[in-house]
Amino acid sequence: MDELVQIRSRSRQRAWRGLSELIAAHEDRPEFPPGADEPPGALSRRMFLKLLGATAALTGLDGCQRNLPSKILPYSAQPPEVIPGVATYYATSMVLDGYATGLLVESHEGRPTKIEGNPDHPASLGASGLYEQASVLQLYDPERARRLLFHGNATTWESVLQHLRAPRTDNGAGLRLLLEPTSSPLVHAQIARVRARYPEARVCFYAPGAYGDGVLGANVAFGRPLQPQYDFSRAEVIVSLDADFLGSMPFRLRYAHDFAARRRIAKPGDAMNRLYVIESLPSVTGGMADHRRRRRSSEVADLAGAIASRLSKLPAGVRDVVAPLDGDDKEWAATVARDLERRPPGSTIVIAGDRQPPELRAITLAMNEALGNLGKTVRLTEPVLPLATGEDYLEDLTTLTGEMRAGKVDTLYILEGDPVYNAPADLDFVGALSHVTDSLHLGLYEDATSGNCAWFAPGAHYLESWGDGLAYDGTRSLIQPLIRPIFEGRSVAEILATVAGDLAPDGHQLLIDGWKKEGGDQLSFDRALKRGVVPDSAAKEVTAAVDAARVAAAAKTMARPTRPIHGIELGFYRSPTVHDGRFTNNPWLLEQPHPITKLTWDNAALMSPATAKQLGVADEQLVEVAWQGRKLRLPVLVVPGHADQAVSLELGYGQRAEATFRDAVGVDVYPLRTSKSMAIAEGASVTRVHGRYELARTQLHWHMGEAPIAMRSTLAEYRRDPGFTAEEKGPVASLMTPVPYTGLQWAMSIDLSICTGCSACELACQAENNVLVVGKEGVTKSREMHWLRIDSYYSGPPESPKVVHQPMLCQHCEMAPCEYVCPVNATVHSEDGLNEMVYNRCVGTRFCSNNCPYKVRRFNWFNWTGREAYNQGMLQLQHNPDVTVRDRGVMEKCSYCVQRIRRVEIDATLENRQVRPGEVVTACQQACPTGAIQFGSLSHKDTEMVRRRNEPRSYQVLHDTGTKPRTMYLARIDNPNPELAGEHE
Amino acid sequence: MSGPAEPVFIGRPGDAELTDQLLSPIWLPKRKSWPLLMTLLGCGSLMFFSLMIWTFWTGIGLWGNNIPAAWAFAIVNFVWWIGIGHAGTFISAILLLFEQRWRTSINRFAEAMTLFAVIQAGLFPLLHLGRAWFAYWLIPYPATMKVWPNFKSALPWDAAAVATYFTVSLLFWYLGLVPDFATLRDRAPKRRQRIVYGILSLGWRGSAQHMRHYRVAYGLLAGIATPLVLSVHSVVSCDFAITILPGWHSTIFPPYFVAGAIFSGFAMVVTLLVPARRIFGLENVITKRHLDNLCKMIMVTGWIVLYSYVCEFFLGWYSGEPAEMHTMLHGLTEGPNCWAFWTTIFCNCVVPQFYWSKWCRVTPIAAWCLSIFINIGMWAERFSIIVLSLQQDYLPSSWHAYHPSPVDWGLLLGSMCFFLFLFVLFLRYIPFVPLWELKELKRKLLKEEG
Repeated sequence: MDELVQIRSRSRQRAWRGLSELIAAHEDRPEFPPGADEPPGALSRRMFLKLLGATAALTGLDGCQRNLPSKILPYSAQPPEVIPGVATYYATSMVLDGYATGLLVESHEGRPTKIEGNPDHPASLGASGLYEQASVLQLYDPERARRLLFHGNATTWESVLQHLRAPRTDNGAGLRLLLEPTSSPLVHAQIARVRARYPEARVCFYAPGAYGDGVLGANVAFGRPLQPQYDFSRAEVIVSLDADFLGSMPFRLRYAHDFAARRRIAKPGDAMNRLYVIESLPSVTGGMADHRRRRRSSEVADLAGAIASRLSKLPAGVRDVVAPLDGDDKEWAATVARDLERRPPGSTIVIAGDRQPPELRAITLAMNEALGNLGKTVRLTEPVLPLATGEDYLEDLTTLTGEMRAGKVDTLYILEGDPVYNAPADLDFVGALSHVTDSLHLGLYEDATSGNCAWFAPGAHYLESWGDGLAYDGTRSLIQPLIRPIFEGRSVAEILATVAGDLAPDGHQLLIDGWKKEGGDQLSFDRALKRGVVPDSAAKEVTAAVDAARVAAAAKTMARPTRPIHGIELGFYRSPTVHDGRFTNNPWLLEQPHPITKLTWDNAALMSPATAKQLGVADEQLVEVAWQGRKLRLPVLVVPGHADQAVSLELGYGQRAEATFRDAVGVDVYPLRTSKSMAIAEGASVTRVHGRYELARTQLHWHMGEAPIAMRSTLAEYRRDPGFTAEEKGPVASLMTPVPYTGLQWAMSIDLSICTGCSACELACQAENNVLVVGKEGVTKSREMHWLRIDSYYSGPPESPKVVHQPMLCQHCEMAPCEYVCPVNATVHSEDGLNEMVYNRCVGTRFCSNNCPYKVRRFNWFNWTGREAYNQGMLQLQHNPDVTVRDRGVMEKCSYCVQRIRRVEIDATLENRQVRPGEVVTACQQACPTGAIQFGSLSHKDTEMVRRRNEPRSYQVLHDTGTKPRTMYLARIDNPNPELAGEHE
Repeated sequence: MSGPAEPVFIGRPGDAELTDQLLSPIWLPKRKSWPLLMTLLGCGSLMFFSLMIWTFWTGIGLWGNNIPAAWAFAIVNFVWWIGIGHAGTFISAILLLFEQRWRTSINRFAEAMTLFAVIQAGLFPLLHLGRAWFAYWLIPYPATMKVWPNFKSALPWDAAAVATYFTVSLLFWYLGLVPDFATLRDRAPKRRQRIVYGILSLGWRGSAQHMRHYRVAYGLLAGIATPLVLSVHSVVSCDFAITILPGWHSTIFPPYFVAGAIFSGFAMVVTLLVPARRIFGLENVITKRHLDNLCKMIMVTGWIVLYSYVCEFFLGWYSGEPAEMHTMLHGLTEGPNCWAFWTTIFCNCVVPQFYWSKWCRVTPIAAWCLSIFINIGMWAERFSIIVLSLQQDYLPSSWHAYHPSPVDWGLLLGSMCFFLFLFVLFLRYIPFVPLWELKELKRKLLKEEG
């Protein structure tokens, strides 16, 4: 307790400027890295005390830290745009994989609390994903770096900046900068300035998740780097070759939006797109497929080649080299090719994922050209990410490590990223780094890289810094801070400007200077800042013709007529939750059920049922994965629909740096990943070893049997029998007098046809409603708190099942079973049709949960805030002040975002008007990229929500229980190719 | 199954002799095993209270409960204990009204058991609340906010039913004790004992007028207690029957639960009576006839229970409702924790059939062993109904198995210790065979015999 007492007493004695200073003053550098001398565990005593200290210190924080101006003013003279209790929204952008997504950030009295998509931004259109939603929690992560280090000793920004600024005499020959790939014009402008000062300096880019994008394929196909831009809203048939364009590719939110626009049918007669997917690990995109063929990643090209060989307009040179397959595959490929060719030119898309080699992507571009898609569904632009030196980031890094080892590099500045942790294992980045005398790491966390660098400086979160970025389509958007850097971090641009010689770099000034240099003025800057988007800045379309000879040459390298299957194929994937590891300290994302496996807090060796059987393993058993002498152990998780003879591993887990939550969370699979096997490693061996490891999953049963829970049908069936859901809706016989519902009556409709299962809604709900995190133990005991969950149900054979995702939340039943069993009237019905939860009245009998047939109620088994570090300290700053944080012993559940409803009602009352149709938007609805979730009042007949309820395929889950749910689902409609009827794989 | 019925009272000792025999456990010097037993049970009770305080302090999360199985051990224990608490009132009140002579020597014993079982039962629902400090919200009291409990919910019914049952049982038990407390007062060798028993006897002098009023009061209380035997467990069963959960949603629950309660209550009487009879040498007043009758009651109620099982399964299957059918045909028989279901079937359906044999009914050790099985079986039945139904209900996505935590087991064991602790204290300080009723019975028998 000494530490705590000290902090308390010290904070009374003297003034301190920042939290980091206060805490840094009490942290002497230990002999060993933190955690090294402690047993692994969720929360060590030391960490607990630290967090406690941070909490205690925070009690004195108030507004001074959060205000943007450095001049502190009493709130009596509040800034004009701030009204206490009323949220303000600011447009900004988040950059991931180098590409920007426009956001609107909700801020309460200077405290950002919630992320929404920016409707004006092309990459978002108002939607957001898991990473965007969770990024606000990262801002408040108490584990973020808060001190500057020089060889392990505390130092100051003054000395770091002075060191960076000091002129070099070698023209920069020994200077290297390692950045994450970025599209930011601001950063590139600073790089140009560094280059101007040090002409011989080199800048490299590396991020483990970006294996190179479509540009590399275009480079092969067109002979110059071009970026394909896909327009799914115009595609009738889509063939995805290991391309998870709905789930993990850049621009995924926009793609999902466009895909859904073509997918959703309002009536049986409407046209619907068709999706063929060939992939190994079931993905979000695979779940939407009408026909999904599971193939090892390395065999995707074979099937793709078979399809290509059937395309009559494909240049003969390309068509002939790809060896057509035999048997069933041949038939399948021919059918797909026919389906593609049958459509009018320019109405299909063939897309290959970034895990596939550039050659395959070149072939798909040729296929698109043959199908007349270029310039229509597939447009070409100049690359959005400026290529630095080579044509491949990986080559950059390989060259860099070579130079480092050769002693050619004396100074290396690693500006964000954690290459020591995630660089390809064969490059031995740590070893190379030890040859560099002057190294600096700028990062959000003190991680593996910072421990191996001479200097370390905390980076700034994007919500704390000025900047800009380009969307995948080239649209420029600005990044503006919502809060002053909590831990006094600096942005990459500021560091680069210092290296370029600036005395006091200021991100804001740099941005404006750059803006003005490009011909803009303050007015246009402010306008762009306000809107979040620079108008008409998308990359210009270019036309190019596929160079058939080059593609044919590429195809030749792909064609391996006899492909012996040897050993197990390893596939490396970015985690859909923690990405490449940059979010591994985010408790929301760690507890976010994996969209496919529903696994939380861990990664696992994912494999098919047949492969598991062959290896003699089952869920949670440990296996040793060995490849080229590299080995690691991890638990098995069987995934229906996975390709046989393949094991998928997700990156980003198992970091052992100083961080409470990511300590020993999952297994680090980077040691298996080399520069030759960034996505696929063939010929690995997997053997069962003794031991088990418990995995926490939120769903364990996947078959719904005969019950009409998540209903589905095919387009043909739907047209033949539109009323197939008729028995699952409509009045239910009852002895009770019906309650008249008049006026505003809230309701929701969810279209399963366009729900991809991406789970953005789940996290958006968590962020909006202060849903607490319960830790792995809590999930293992089935005590997770998510108000909205995504249920997945499988049908068909376990090797290659069909999956349907169903967002499940409180159904707000008109005859709610939970209400009449509550002994104290703690859950009651409102006049506008909400099933309300009165936390203050709840005594916690849990009778309501027992009687809820949807099991959507969540109980506070403990005081989760007090119990779990994940909910404590600074992280509480994220809480939405409009929503009560529930205490121990009370029940909670989805409220249909009642705080948003009441806010709109208050606004309407103040403006003396009625609530407008579509004015209330729930958090889940707002995040959903496909618009599957629609909310509104039943009295607003002319809204999408009501129209959808009146579609023939709408139904209520468990209709016959007589609960009269207000939430209606629309049965999922698939559009299988009649020619492939009855096929299973 | 033949021959004349065993007598309910062997020998015709004089009143003084009978008094000496039945009060001897109270006056005689303590046996050596006494402190050991009390320490053991006391420690168990301490553990019980420690775990309760810990739970109260930290939260229900210490238990194994989850979503979907939001109710588990605590409610299982509650229903089990309250079921056990049924035999006492059945024996004292219903058999009194039916003028069954064999109730006389065991009624107080059974009533005490009832009382202590209801105490255990009452603790669990309180502890089970997420915010136990607001338990009084379940009681209709004139709150300033004018908020009432929700009378549509079975839980306020429950609170009322259990509280009523406890009160009436306590009064009935105490009323029966008054004349015997007077005897104790008169016979007590020590002054302190005379004072304590004197206060407890409420000035009873045994006058004819006392006796006349006394009989009226006792009869009235028996009349009040009788419907409670049926109502308490009917109300408890409504905690389940009013829901829409497959496996709970069933109109058969009230009679089914009452039969089960009496079944388990009688089994517990046998479990406790056999050792007490032997230790205190009461073979002359608690005869084989008593054991025989108790076991016959177990058989009768056992068959009602078995019939209810069959009905439940038939109705589950007949409903054609997928969730209902799943619970009955898969959830119970092969789901997680299905051991509880098969234990129930074995203990409650197979074991009681041994009581067809008269030897099993009148041989104390045999009757005792079988009764233990039934106690276990009834606990497992409550567990099956509550936990197994909850684990797997409508949406397979939310199915999750329940695993009890050590705290759960500790509380169950602790409640048994606390129950026995109270019971042993009762055996030691209060005449557990009603003296005055037995003397009365003896006179009646003598009169009949001429």
